[in-house]
Amino acid sequence: MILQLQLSCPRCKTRLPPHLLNTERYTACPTCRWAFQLEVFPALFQGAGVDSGGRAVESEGEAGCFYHPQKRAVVPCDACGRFLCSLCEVELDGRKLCPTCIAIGRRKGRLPNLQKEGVLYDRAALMLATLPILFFPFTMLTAPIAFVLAIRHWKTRERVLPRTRLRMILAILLSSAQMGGWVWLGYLIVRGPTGGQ
Amino acid sequence: MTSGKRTYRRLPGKKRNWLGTTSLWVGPDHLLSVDLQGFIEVYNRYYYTDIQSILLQPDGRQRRITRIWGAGAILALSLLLVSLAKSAWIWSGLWATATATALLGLLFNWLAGATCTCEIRTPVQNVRLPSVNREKQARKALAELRARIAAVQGRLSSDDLERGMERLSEEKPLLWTRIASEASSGALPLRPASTAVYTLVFSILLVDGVVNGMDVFLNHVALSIASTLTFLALAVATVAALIRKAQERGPQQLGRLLASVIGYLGLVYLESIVASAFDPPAQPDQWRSTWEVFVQHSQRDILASSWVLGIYSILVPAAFCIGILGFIALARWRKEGGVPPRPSDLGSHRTEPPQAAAGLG
Repeated sequence: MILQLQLSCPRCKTRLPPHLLNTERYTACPTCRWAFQLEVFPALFQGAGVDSGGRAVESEGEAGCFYHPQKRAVVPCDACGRFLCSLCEVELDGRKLCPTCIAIGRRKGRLPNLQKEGVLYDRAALMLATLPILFFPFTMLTAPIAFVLAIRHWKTRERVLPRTRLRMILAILLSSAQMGGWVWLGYLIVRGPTGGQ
Repeated sequence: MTSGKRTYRRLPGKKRNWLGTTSLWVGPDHLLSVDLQGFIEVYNRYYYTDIQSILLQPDGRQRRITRIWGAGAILALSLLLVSLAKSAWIWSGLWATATATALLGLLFNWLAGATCTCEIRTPVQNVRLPSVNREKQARKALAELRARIAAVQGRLSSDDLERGMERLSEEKPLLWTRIASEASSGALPLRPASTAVYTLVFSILLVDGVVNGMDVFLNHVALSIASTLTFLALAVATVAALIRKAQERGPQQLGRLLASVIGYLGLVYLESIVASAFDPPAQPDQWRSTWEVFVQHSQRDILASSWVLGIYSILVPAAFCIGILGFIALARWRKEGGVPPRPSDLGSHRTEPPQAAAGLG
């Protein structure tokens, strides 16, 4: 049903003639005149594989799946080598992996394509180093936190996308300056207005 | 289980929200949607092998944004004139800044182009891509995606498409209750162009050019009043024209000319600032009536100030050039055809109720 909806007008759901698809510009639904552009790709017409549920082992010599021994193995896992049926085989990053290897890879962060979210420590450190300047007494607390955050996560690569270390450097410089300022102020207070004389 | 280094390239378009941004990146085998929420990025991947279709639809957001900026510009301009009349210079500066901001907003909204929505459809989900929200960006992103998907899935020829659709209609004939056989062409029917508001803009511009030209050589209070009124009328008419331009896709040349008119308005405003700087009131603290301001303005000698004369030497020819070019563009537009129908207009011309929707729902 989803397939039919995809080939229908997004507004009135009328079936669209083929010449209104892949037009590379806006076109109008012949019934409701709604303007749209629908690009269709071959995946739309490819149904689920016949063998997607895994075929049963038919003869004595056939290898069975490690997880489903009654199913015929079609491919070995590229990571652990276990035999897998078509039900257990998962293609990821151009490799065929078993569910266990995927779970391990996800837990250890070795499969970047399964990473759902990333923490931007550099952004957090820079915010901590800049925003509290507006309420400068807070920098006594936030500057060391920003400094530690930037140093500790200097090599952390949680982000999937490329990112420079500019924010980290700025956060370290700013928080260092703030900490230096507080040390200087403390020194002046301890020394007293007469310079200790 | 080692992870290879991945390279992503950002697609045009970015959607900002309160906490961060949403952007779209193309990777070697998938499309990555990155939603920045404070300090956390959330990733959604759509593999090229899974993408079945991409749907673009125009929406009326640009029109709404134009209306908001336009209303803001008119309001700020009105307040600016009131402040000027009362010689409240601090308030005048404030409202002038607000007017300029609103006009810049209008300009940016117009430059960004028509808005749209973009949806990606996979076997299990329909996902709207918020970062692709302008037509220009959407076309670029779509071109990039089309090439990458074709590299993975192959190209879908028109024969394959027809065959696939036939097969589907044979498998599920009842779901497609309506066959759009009457549609011989996908081209949008054009409706006649309404050029009244543009004509008004270019007419006022020509009048403004004449008035400013006369103002260089003649010192009369009527010219000062006429100059102020034409400036005000031109600003209002330009806002109205920009709203109309956002509503319908007119020729690009017309858009450029409207941008030039905004530039012209900015120059006139600059001239008023320069003039007031070179010709300050005799007693700044004393309240002056609007009439007195006009009288003083009319008595200045433009030929004596090189700055003001320089600006006038640009203003007057610019007004005539833009005005005449505008009329030529309008005549060409009227001759060549009209504008495509708006989605709202299209919706009101439905011939039959959608029975198929009930069947598919």
